[in-house]
Amino acid sequence: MSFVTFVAATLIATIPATDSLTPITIRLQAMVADAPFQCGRSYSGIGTTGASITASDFRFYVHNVRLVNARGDTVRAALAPLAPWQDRDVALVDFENGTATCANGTPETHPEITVLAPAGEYRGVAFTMGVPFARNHGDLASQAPPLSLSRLFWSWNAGYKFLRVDMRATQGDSAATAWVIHLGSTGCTGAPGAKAPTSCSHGNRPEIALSGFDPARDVIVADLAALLSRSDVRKNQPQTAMGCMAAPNDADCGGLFASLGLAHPNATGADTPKFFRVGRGALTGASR
Amino acid sequence: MPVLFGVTGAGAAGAALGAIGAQPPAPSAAARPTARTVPPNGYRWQLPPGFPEPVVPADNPMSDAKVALGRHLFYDTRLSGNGTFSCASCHLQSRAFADALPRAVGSTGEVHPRGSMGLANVAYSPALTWANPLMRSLEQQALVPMFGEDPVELGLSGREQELLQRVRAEPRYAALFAAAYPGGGDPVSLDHIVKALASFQRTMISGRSPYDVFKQGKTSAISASARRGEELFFSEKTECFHCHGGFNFTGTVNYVGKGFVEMEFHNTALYNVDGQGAYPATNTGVESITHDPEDMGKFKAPSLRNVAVTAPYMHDGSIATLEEVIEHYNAGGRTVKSGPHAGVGAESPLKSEFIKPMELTPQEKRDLVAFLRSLTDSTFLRDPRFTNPWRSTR
Repeated sequence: MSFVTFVAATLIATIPATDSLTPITIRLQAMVADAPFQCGRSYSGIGTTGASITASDFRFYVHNVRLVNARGDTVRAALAPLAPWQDRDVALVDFENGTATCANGTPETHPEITVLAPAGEYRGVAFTMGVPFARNHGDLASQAPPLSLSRLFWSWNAGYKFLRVDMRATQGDSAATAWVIHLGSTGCTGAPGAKAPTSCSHGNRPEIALSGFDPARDVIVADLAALLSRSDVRKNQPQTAMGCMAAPNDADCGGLFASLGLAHPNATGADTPKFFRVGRGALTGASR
Repeated sequence: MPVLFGVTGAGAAGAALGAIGAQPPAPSAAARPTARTVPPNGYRWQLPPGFPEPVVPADNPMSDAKVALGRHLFYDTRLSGNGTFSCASCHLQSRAFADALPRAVGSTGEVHPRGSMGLANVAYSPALTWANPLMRSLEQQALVPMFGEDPVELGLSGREQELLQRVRAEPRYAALFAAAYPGGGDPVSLDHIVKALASFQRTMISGRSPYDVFKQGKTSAISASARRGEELFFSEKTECFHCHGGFNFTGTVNYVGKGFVEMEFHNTALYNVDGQGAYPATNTGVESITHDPEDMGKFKAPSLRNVAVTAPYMHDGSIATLEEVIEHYNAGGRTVKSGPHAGVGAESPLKSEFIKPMELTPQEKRDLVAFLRSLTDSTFLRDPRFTNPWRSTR
């Protein structure tokens, strides 16, 4: 935390506000319904059966950030190079702190995105979840952060996990079942001589737009309860990955994809609660 | 007359390769390679007679120091999360760097849906693993067993810093890394580890089997039965060579001067669980990567070199012996009589056009097996260059 604060302070001090671009911090907050997210904590009432979950990972990548100004114009908000969390192409949002059930994660957290945008007042935000195609299929072993995390390698699919949420679910006295969300591009192909895929039939990069968001006041809430609201986390479709690893033939992905605004053969209805929402003002009691 | 070896190798290498198969086609002017046996950086391959030079990524040139480092890493259990497994746990030299299990078992006991692949001549493969057209280099592939989580193999996901610390703590690595990656700074990195592993694997070249000796002119090197088996293998009656052709007995092959990279995946009618050609849902081959229905059940034809020591067979280890493999192909597809995978493979609409009933006689089946057994390179299976380097000093 102190390291990140130091880096951010250094960044703000060293990035000249030329062309009236100024660093703006977009804050995020991981929640499970009304409760702040914590590794190791059990949350009840999840999904279609009201199960309990304990998460062991919660991270995602974003890029292509935009802000909506007071006049209603969408302006590009360039990612500020802020190692190790973001470079000019992609940023990592990290809610897990490497403790308790998240022991395989990293101690550092990063619930924010820092962008360079014209100074002024804003009332909306938009971004794309995931790693841009041009950066998604490089040599994983030699990438600089934030693309250097092996937990987010999706090696067999030649890319990254854009969103990773791992959890165990229980209900009543039943034994815990593993349920994971690994979202990334699938259906990728490339010419025989090519070193990397040249296209993917399922990019799986959610487009997120939130109105009524003032970065000076509000936070973007990423709500696991909303993400899982149409899922039965106690069950796994037989002969598919546990939970959802983004396969088009895995019905367990349907509710998640709908919550993220992605197409899927099993997508639930338009009334599916959305993973992201605007949190008005500073949330209290939240461990950010 | 079928083209048995689609080889347009370099200069003398091409001529010698011609001796292994039938007549190689004349290289076109565009594809004609520049003959060279010593790469610019001076690395000397120890290639069997007639073998072409493997393709090496530009950012990972071969060196003896990198190969030595990679050999130590390959046999090092520090490369697993719980310190119990190394690459060699599932890739045994005595089995041509495959293992004896139907399906591999990882460091945490998780069973892989597929079997460990042999690594002999992996340097010539432009597509790694059983059925992943995206897996183009050994450097890229090494990350799958190390960091993969579905299934867990070596179990290093999220533990790359711990891995680097363990490696730095081993005194022997200081000199090995410094020699492999001169130039100052800390040479211990994930990138350098996978590059060294890839370099070592590229030296695992096998081409000194009795069959190779036979093709170099010593007729008595293999039995009369194996010679008849060779004729059958390269005949339209069996069509084996269509998928297992070339000096490495696989269609998926590349080398310096080849001119074209070839990657092939085939549905060999092992399953037909829905009458439409479906394979079991957890093991659909290339389809699981591309989501293309045409790719259902397509897997890479592995090299047949040393095949006699890599039982059991097929991607899921579902056939125990070479004799039973021949029966499967002789029937033009496998019939699974009962259970969740029941179905008549021979009736699969997706099976390769070369999978058809062969009507082999018992003697012909024995001849084919004798031929396959003549591909065992016993020098490779005990070559001291590939043994465990930790064992001699500990």
